[in-house]
Amino acid sequence: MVLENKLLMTCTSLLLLTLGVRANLPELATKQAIQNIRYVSNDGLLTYYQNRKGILYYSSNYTVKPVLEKSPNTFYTVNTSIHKKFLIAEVQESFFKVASFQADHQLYAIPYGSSKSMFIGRGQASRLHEKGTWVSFYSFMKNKITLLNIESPLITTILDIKNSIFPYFIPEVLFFNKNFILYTDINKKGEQAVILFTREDREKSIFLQSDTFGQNFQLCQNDKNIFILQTGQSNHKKGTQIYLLKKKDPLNIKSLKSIYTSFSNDTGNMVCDFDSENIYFIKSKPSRKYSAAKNIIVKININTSKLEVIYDDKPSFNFFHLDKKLVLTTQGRYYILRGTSKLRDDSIK
Amino acid sequence: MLQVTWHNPFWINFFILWSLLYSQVIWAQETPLITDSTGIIRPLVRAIQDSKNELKSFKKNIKANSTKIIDQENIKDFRIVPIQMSSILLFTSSKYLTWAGADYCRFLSLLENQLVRDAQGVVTRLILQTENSVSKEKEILFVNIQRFLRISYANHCITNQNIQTLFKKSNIVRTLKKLNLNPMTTRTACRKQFSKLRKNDLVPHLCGIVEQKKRLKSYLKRKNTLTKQNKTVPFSLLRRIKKVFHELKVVTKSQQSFLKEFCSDLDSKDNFCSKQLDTDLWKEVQSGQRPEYLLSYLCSSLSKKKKTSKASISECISLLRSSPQVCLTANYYTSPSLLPHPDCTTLEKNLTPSHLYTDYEDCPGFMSNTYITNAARIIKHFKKQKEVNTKNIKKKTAAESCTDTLYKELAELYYKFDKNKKFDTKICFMSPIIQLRKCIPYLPGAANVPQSEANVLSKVLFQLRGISESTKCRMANFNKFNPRLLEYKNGCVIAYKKKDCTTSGCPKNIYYNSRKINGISYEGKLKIEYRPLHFNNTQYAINRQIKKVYKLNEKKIHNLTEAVFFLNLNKNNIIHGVGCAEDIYPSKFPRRTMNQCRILPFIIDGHRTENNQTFLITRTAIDDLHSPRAINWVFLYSAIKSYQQIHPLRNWTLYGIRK
Repeated sequence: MVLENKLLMTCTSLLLLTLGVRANLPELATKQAIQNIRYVSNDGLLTYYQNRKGILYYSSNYTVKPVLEKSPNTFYTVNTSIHKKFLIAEVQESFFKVASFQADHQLYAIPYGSSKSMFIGRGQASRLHEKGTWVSFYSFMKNKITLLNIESPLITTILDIKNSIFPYFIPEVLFFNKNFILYTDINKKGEQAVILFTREDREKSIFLQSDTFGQNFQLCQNDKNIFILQTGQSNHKKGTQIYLLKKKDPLNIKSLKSIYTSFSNDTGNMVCDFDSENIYFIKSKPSRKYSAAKNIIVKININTSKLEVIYDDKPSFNFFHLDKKLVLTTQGRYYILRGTSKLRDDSIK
Repeated sequence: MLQVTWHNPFWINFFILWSLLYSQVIWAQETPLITDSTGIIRPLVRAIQDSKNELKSFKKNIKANSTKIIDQENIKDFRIVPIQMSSILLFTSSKYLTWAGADYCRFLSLLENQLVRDAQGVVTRLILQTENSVSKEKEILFVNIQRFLRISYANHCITNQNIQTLFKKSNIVRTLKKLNLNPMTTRTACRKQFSKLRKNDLVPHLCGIVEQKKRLKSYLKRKNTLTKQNKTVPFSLLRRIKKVFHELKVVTKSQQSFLKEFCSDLDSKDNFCSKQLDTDLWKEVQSGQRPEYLLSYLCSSLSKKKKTSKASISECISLLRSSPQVCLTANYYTSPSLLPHPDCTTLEKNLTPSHLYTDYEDCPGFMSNTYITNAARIIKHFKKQKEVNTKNIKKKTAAESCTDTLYKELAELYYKFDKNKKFDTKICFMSPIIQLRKCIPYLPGAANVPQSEANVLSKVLFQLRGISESTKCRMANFNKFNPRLLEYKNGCVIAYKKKDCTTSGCPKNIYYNSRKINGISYEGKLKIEYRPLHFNNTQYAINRQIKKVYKLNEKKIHNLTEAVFFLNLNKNNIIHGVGCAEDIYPSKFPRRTMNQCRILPFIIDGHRTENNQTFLITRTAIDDLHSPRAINWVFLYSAIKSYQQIHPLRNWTLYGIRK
């Protein structure tokens, strides 16, 4: 407890020292209209973008090829992993007319740097695992998580989700390895839990459980570690904790190590695979009144637990990892938070 | 050993000193970081630790005869040993010690109601020093509180025994009723009431009710642990649990809340009365200054009763004040929405400037398209105005399901705007006449328009089974439906397949005269153009239809100043917009890829300022209708800008609507 308090004090003093991190961040430079882009590589040579007619294109080396052709008003989102093996396209037809949080999207796997696509199922919240060869997604309609090996699509595992009453709960999934999988679920009381699923014998066991309503778990990983963020969502029980767990030791819950504790309800949205030393997340800046709390982006060194503020400017933003860049988005614009935005010149000379 | 009796002046002085310093002691206990600090706190912190250690080692070392039968004959002059007495003075709440003062009987009453603590928690046994009447030897005895009280009450404090009777199971309701534990409306009356009550010797029993309620959880935990370990649960524990449950049953929630506030401010009349007399939204609702529906849905959800009476509203207000966390999930089971809702304290602040008409129940979690929720909320707001003006407020029908309420508004809007509107949702069946699959467009719900689901199904049943076209289909109550129930036995009923429901919706079954009709399927999604998506054909956008049918005006809102100005112009003005959920609720919907956007329409109907920041009172289409949130303008602005980026026409979507 005393140690935790000392850590908190250190964190707070660090925050105070680094207040006022206001950078004129460079905007993300792209060769396409940014609103059409769904994925762009770090050097800008490879782009997936869509047009109004509902076609998703792949563009590289002066060639443009259609990847998926759907009806007008179709909207695509595309994500990948740091391993760049596959991209996952989530397709929402009639996007602007059906504003649904629970409708399942059509999901396609696209080999990285290719215009081929393969239908893999229907769901949301797709995420790549195991060096980008496995995908997980959640179907609201079926209330199930699907785990699928993209290279051998017959290898599929379905997980039932217990949640029956929380319409906006989206479970998170994370692989220790092909056999041990972590995912989140919620019971009728609104208490979330992180569950360990063993694929071989289809056994489930509770890994971590919140003891009260309104606590949220977020999961992310790098090559060696898994990170679990537990945070409150109301004034009722405030506080945030980030745990670290070695990937090589999935069954040893005792190796769970707390690397960050705070009394505030942090937004989280961790990015854990940008570099191997740090994790990045959105923290609530200490404030006496919860409603007046401001969000900032911090990074925490996983070895020393040292906290550093890296963005403290506009109060409303999101950030994510996009091919060796940390991209910050606010008010519909995209900025480079970490990494470079230099586009390789591929014009004919 | 120092002779200690309650009447010893030394202990009275000692007690006063500790009482004065008590609040600081508590602070020191709860803040471990200050253990290294110096000054007055340090000796106090050390004193607490010393007291704990001393009492522990004293109990360990002493060879006490706790089983010895003690009665008034063989005990002459008993005293609480100094170590325990000093611990009691240190650990018992100062407000109780101050209340008892030097009155021995009052102290006994505190003991009786378990309000006295020492370093080891609630005092259940006293360590007495006494002189044996026969042997004249001094001895130390551990005495159970009950036994100690029995001995004490035999000679002293007869009133305490009478008070005990007043709080027996059969009398407690009457006793509390006589005390008139109702909040006063004026400061003078409140102060008078407080003084009168505080003088009363019943205080320990009243506060005992509050304290025991707090301890119930730990009692139950202990009982469960013992049961799990196959150990006998002590009778005293069972009796205590039973007593608390009985008190919770017979003491009304408003009495519980009154007592909670009274006991927490036992040492401060002003604090108590300030809390009692603070005017807030809840009080305004109670006095009729604000509409009752601001509370009635919340309270009926909390009390799990359909109707709310004046008495139950009063109880509910007490609950909202004393347990603000109850609002986090209020209305949830009847109206699933994004959780957690604001707590009651925040909700009261948010509802104060809010003016959206909300005298109905909707269920965002059951709606497949958030545009419908938003559009219907806007229509209901302006329709209600019309009904008020014409003194023609229709009574709500209890049978209306929460989704139907919204679909009905949409159906009526479409019908008024274009009688021949075709929808993307279809009811399909194999026609026995033409031997071909046939689909008829419909709009979900049972609105009184030809395209409604209920009316389309009547047509389908006629074509499929030859059932009279005049047979009206009706929506069954989601929770109550059972084909064997009399009310569902006859006619056509549309029922949800409750077992197959997921969080995204429920498939439906059709019953006619209690028999399931097969061969009917639902197809398509209800597509809605909320704002124009194309330069041509813009008239079918919902915002245009609402404007035309209800004769409303729209005004573009560009910034916070305009928003606040527009809302201040007229209390019926509201603002609606469309944005990305990732910007409004980044912790719930993180953005992980480029241009990711979950479309989220919302309504703003007020504003409030806190810490020099202006917050807009907002209900997004996934939020509970009765639990608006205060959202910073920058979040809404960012959401609208993100949506504008991906919108086919790059349109700005924030507009004020007024008559």
